[in-house]
Amino acid sequence: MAAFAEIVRFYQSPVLSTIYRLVGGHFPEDVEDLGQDLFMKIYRSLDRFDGERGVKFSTWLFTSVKNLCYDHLRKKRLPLESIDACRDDDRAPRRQLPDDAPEPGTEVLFRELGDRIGHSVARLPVEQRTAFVLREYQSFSYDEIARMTDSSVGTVKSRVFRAKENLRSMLTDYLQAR
Amino acid sequence: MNEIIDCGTVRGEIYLFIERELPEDRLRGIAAHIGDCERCREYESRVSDFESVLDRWDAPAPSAGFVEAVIERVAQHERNRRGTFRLQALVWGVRGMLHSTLRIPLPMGIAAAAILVLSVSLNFVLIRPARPTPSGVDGGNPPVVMVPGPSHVTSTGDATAAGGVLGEPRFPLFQPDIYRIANTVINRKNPVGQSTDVEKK
Repeated sequence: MAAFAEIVRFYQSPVLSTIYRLVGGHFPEDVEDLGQDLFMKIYRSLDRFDGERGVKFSTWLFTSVKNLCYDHLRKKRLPLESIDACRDDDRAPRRQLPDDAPEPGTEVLFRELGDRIGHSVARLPVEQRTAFVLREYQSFSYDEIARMTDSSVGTVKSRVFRAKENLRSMLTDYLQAR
Repeated sequence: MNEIIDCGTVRGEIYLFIERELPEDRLRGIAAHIGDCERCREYESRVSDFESVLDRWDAPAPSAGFVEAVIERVAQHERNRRGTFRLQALVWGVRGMLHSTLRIPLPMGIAAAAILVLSVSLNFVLIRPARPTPSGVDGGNPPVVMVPGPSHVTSTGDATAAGGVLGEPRFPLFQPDIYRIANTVINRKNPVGQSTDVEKK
């Protein structure tokens, strides 16, 4: 039990931040509950993890994170939408940078920018979002992401590329205003 | 081998170029092209700006009691698992005993146990006699067996002058025996002709 507590303590931050980035844009209130569910699932299936087969624990753990998030989105009947569908979706409020925003470099502007990025990422198709988040914020290699998502390395590279291009397009007005 | 890198290649591989995720000769080729091409240089600059902006998206820190909440759930899971295991062990034990020793299938064994429990319960509910009251009125004093003392025994067998009291029998099934024993004791203590039966009220 103490050993498992150490695992939870060590991984709580990357796991929760990944869940937040994958589903938090739609269901921020569910993030910690999902985190608890995830660690319970890991505890129950620890005996199935075989480190000698060349799979890293973190790869195994984040595969579960990805699966849990996908299940949650399906359970909530959230369409794993395409970027085109997102663009036509006006239900989600779009944040605008305040006109009286402080000069760039201040904390407020960064927080506003962070919210803006989060909102844009939430509008990405879920497979692009997953590949992008795992690569950009958890620094997994393309090969590891390919294993986690059961795809080829080329597919993962393509998803990350398209995710970034879509995000860059969504954040154009901010990037031009800098 | 020197590859020809055009603007399309740079745009398609710009993120991998920034991440240094390309083979060395490819990296050199793209870097050379960017050095020569003004448009690609601007493009690379915009993409680098965008990459630096992505770091601004912070996730909230876990709440203070997150680890404790997970461990509590794990402990609860363990308690449930142990309880289930004990029950399972009991079932398997009973099943093994019934099957290997008595050659009785488990459902039959359960049915027999249920009948046994039911019959014992029914004994208390149905076989127990109604409580008699001295006045014959329900709700009177609890029934007692009056055992008259030798000096107060009358020829009429007046039990109201009792010297000793046997309390209410705890096991109604054996109540007749208690009456019989009480009478035997009394008759033994009193000479013939002065004996009396204990009245069953």
